[in-house]
Parts: sequence; C-alpha cells; structure tokens
Amino acid sequence: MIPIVPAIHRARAKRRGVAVLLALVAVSVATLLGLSLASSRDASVATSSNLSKVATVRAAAASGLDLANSILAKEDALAALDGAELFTKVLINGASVRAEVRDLETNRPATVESAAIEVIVYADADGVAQVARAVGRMPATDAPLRADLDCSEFALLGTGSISVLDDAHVGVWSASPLAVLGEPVRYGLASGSSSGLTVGHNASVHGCVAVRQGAFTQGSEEFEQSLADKLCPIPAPIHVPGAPIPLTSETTVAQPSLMLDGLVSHNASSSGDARVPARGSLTLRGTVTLDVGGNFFVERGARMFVEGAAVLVVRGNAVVDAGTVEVAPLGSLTIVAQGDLTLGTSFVGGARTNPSEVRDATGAASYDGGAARVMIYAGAESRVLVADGTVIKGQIYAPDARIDVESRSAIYGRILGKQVVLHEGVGLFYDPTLDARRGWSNRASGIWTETGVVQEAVRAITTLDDAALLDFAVKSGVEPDPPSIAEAAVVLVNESFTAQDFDERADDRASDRVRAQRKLLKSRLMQRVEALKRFHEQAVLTPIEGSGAGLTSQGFEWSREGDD
Amino acid sequence: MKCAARLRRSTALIAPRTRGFTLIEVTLATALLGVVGAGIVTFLGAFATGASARTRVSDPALEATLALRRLDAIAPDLRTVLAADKTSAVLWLNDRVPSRTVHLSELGCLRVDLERGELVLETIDESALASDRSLETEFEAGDDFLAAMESARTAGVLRTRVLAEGLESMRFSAAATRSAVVLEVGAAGATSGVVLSPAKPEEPLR
Repeated sequence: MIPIVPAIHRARAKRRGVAVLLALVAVSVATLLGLSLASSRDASVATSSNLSKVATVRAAAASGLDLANSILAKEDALAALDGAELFTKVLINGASVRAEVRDLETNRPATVESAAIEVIVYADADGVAQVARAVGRMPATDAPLRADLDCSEFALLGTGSISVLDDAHVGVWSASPLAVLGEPVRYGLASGSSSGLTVGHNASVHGCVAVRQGAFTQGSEEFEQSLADKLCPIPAPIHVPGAPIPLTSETTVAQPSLMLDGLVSHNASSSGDARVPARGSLTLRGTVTLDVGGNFFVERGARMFVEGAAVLVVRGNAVVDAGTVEVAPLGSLTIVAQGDLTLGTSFVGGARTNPSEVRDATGAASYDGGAARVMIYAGAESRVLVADGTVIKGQIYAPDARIDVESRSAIYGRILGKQVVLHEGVGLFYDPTLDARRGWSNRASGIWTETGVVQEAVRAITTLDDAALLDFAVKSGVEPDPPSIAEAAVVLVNESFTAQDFDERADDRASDRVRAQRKLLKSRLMQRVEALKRFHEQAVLTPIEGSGAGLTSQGFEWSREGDD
Repeated sequence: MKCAARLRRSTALIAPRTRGFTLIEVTLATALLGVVGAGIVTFLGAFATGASARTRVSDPALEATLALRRLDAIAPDLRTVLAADKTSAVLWLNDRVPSRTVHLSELGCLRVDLERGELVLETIDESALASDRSLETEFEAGDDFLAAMESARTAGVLRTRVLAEGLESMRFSAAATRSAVVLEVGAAGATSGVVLSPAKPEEPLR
C-alpha cells in the first residue's frame, strides 16, 4: 500500500515556506512603496501650484492697475466714482478684478479736489487674492487757471542768501502722506543763482534739488538728468511777494494791554503788550483776530490752543519761551510778526496725537495735520530765531527777514527768508502736501504764459495780502491759491473773508469792461486747459516723474491664501 | 480501528523528521525582515521629525523662485545688481532718495550663509540712519559696493532677513548671455539657477 498521507504532508510542508516568503516579499514591496511615497511627499507640487496661481492673479492685478490708469486719464474720472470704486468684477485672465481710488492725504474716496491718489486693485481667482497698489499725483489739468504765488513748492527759498551748515539736514517729512511719491525737495535762491547758496560739506541734502535758472525739462529723460545733476531748472527769477502787513482794525477797541488766559472767542486788540502768563492756558475759539500793538509773550510753561481760525498780528516783537502753541485738527493759525520773532524750547504746530511726542526734532514726528495749518509771516524789520530744540510744524514766510534755526531745532514744513541760516544739527523736513503743482516749477501753471514767460500780473504782486491777490485775479483771469488755510489769513482794512474764491469776488467787483476782458482771458486759459487734458490722455501709461503724470507702483501684497 | 491506529503511529514516526527551513530561506527571510524593520524605523523617524519633513520644498527651482518672490515683496522697485562675487551680490533696491544715483540707504546685499544653508538679504537699518544722518552716502559709478556693505556689516548697521533656508549650496555667477547675475541654488541633490534682474533694468545715471 502506498503511504499517501506522508506524501501530502511533504508537499504541504514545501508550500508553507514559500507562502511565508511570498508574504514577506509582499510586505517588503509595500514598505518600499510606502517609503518612496513618504520621501516624495513634500510641498513641491502644492507650492508650484500656488506659485502658478499667484503669478496669474498678480498679472491680473497689474493689468488692473493699467486699466485704472487708463480710466483715470479720462476727463471727470474721479467725479464718476462710486464711493471709492473705480470698477468692479472685471474679468482679466480668469481673475475677478476690482479697483478703488483713494485720496492719498485723507485716505477717503478720491474726489475731483484730490491732488494725489492711491489706486488699490484687488484681483481674485481660485481662492488666491492679490492686491496691487500705486500712487501718483492727479494731472493738474486746471493748472493754467490757478497760480500758487507763495512759493510753497520750495522747502527752502532765499531772496538773499542761504547757508546750510555742517550736520544740518534738509529732506522730506517722512510722515507726510505724499512722501511716498518720492519727489525731490527743492531749495535755493529766488534768483536762480548759485552764488549766495552755501551748503556745508557735511550737510545732509540728499534727495534735494537746487533751483537754477534754466529751461524747463522736456520729458522723462531730461527730468532724470536734471535730477541726477541735483538741479531744478526754472526759466526766470522767482518773484517773491512781501509778507502781508495788516492795517489796524478800526472796529475793535484797543486795550492798553492784554492778559490772555482762559477762553477767547472774539477779536481783541491792544495798544501795548499782550501775554499768555507762565503756566497759563489760552484757548482761541472760532474766527478770532488778536491785534497786539506792542510785544506778545507766551511765557514759560504756557499753552495756547487754537480751535478755530485765528490770526495773531504782533506789531512789536513776539516771544514764545518754553511754551506750546497747538492747533486743533480743524483749526488754523496765522501769525503776522512785524518785529522780531523768537521761539526757544517751544512747540508750534498741530495738536499732537502722540502723547509721548514732546518736541521731536529727529524728522520722525507725527503728521498731525501737517504744515498747512500754521503760517508765520515776518515783516521787513524782523529777525526770526528758532532755537533751543524748538519744533515748528508750519511755514515761515519772511522774504525780507533773516531767519536762524539753531541748537537742535527742527522745522516740519518750509522756510522762506531773505537770509536763511540752518545751523549745525538742525533739520528742515519739507511737507510735500504744500506743493499743489500750481507754482513756479510747473510750466503749465497760471504763473506762466503759453509762451513760457512769467505773467506780468505775477511780478506786479507786492505783498501776499487779499487786495493784491484780488487785483491779480482781476488782471490775469487766474485764480491765486491762498497762502494759508486760515479763513481770515490776510486782513484787509477791517474786512476779513470767509470765502477764498478770488474768481467770484473778482467778477463781482469788476466793471463790465473788465468782466469782458476777464472772459476773454478765461477762454484763452481754457484752451490751454483743453490742450493739457489732451496731452495727459496721450501720455497715459507712460508716467513722467515730476510731471504729475502716471502712477508709481508700490508693489504687491497677499490678501489671503496666497502665501507660499 | 487497526487502520486508524496505524495512521497515528505512522504520523508519530514521521513528525520528528519534518523538514525545517533551509539556510537560504532563513537568510532571505532575515534580510527581508531587515528591510521591513528598516522601513518601520525610517517611518518612525520621519514622524518623529515632525511636519517639517513633510512640508519641505526640495525643488531648488522652487526655492530660488520663492526667494526672489520674497525679495520682490521687500524691494518691489529693485533697480539692478551693482556688484557681485561668489557669495554675495549688492543690489540697488530703489531710488528712495530721489536722485537717480545710488545711496547707502538704497543698497541691499544678498548673501549666502552656507553654514546655516540660508540666503539672506541685508539692508541698512532705518533707525541707524535716523540717529546718524552722516551715514547716508552717495556713491559714484566706480565705487566698491561690496566693500561698502562689508564696512556697514562691521559697523553693525545692517538688518538681516532670511529669503531661503535649508539649501545645500548657493553661489552667484555671471550670466553667459547677458550682463546679469545668476543665483545658483542647490537642494536635495539638484541645482537650479535664476537670473537676478529687475523687470525693467535701470542703471544709475552716475
């Protein structure tokens, strides 16, 4: 008999070993596959995908900027805005694109009054979003109709001489909303000459251009060349009108002297001195004119707070000694000093929002409304001394006076004087919002005729008072930009004006013959305006820096899910 | 009954003589078990290393692209490469001092840190410039920008930001076809190069 069972057993025994091996091989293969999967499981594919998406959306955002630039070149583009929205849900390369236009100064939706704008373009596709930003000045197409006569486009302008000593600094106020435009800061002599202009070897004037008499630059290449040469060519000597000298008010009864403390909300006048006593606190509310026949003192530790539009006329000397003069967000202050003006260890400017900022002379001070709300005029016999760490956020206009800024003081704004000396270690930080591009450096402004010659009426202005500006408006058909935002900045006899529309007032006061003449002048100016509009429409997408045309990109940023 | 008893007996006789695994089988099984064991150990190691191992970007092209993207975010107005050697490249980041000339505050230095495997961007510290305005310098075309950045590094006025990390090799070299600088990046055994050049190359007027 054949032994069947042992044969079967032997066969099973052989197969059992093979099964184990097969199982082990299978496990090994699975392990190797798992390992290879684990080793290749990095973020490369996901990152590549993200990069691709981001690149697509970024390109759409960049195209959105071009589209916005093109739309903004059209007439009345800002008037047609829906809030801040320029366009929405425009499909570009599969991405949904939306654009907003905001006023660079206020961060509110841009209006026809906006001088500089920020365009923000949002592009969105496949859950990836990109934001592109660009800033630029709106083309000043109304420039031929307007003229900025107070030379506020210059950070430092001298009618006689300028000395910027070693370690003094002239530059842009970085906190100004228009500082991002990266425009050069202008300084020099009104004559356009280099003699009389002294800049110390170790003085810091980086990013500044000096005024020189020469033809305006044509196009971006010439502009860049003059920038590299650090020059600002202007074809003719700059005419600087004198500071206004208000007449004495006849309606206000003059007191022998004034002690100013507490709240003052009406006009006041004194034949003698006026003072804000030591550690006193004066608040000026509403439209107030203080006419001081003698000297004016803000004594040690005193605080003067301006809530409305205040004009302070000082017939004698004015001294602010370790005092504070602050202007509320909606207020303005105009100081007309006919004698000497001395400020020591003091602060004059917008009310400080940063409680830790006392007198920051480093250039990093908060903007707090900028330099436009404080205007200081000084007369022919004056000497202005800013010393001992004083900080002024405002403008000093003293074309016939000597101005000294010394001992670690700083001016945030601009200075115009006959002899200006910036001593060692002081700073002048220009606020670009003062430059409305309607002045001497813009060939299209109302200062220049179509042939590039200075209007005769411009040189006829003797002082920056209301009467002279109104006379200019009548003769030229051009509306002068008021030198101060104060409602009653310039006092004409007993009259002060709340409306600053010189054009309307000029028409009201003019005779029929003059009105007809103005109409003719206006029609010629409008032809220039139309030509300027056509130029800007043609020049769209080809920004010319310094010309006010075109936008400067500020780069891109992620908004969500775009992070790679 | 007899048959069953005989079967049990024969089985009992056979059992002690059952053949075991051959040496080859045992060796092979041990080797395979070793592979499986090593795999398990590697898995455990990978998990222990954490998420970083799984989110790693091992493609040098991607690393280089991401580095440039970060550079673009920091310096959207990059003008040009002013000077370079194997381990660093000095960039003209922008014209923030409006002059069309190069100033110290406008410089950046892309530097290779092989010890840490990082590509870093060094820029001038704003606070240092604000506290000492005399630091600001205007350069001429022939100036030694690499030396200027080196002295700024020595003076401790540089701010450093990491653009890429985890790289095995990095170096700068001149591009063959045009006047540009190439950043060559190596990672995970592969190498990739990107050209350091702005979209619209601009050179200083001075």
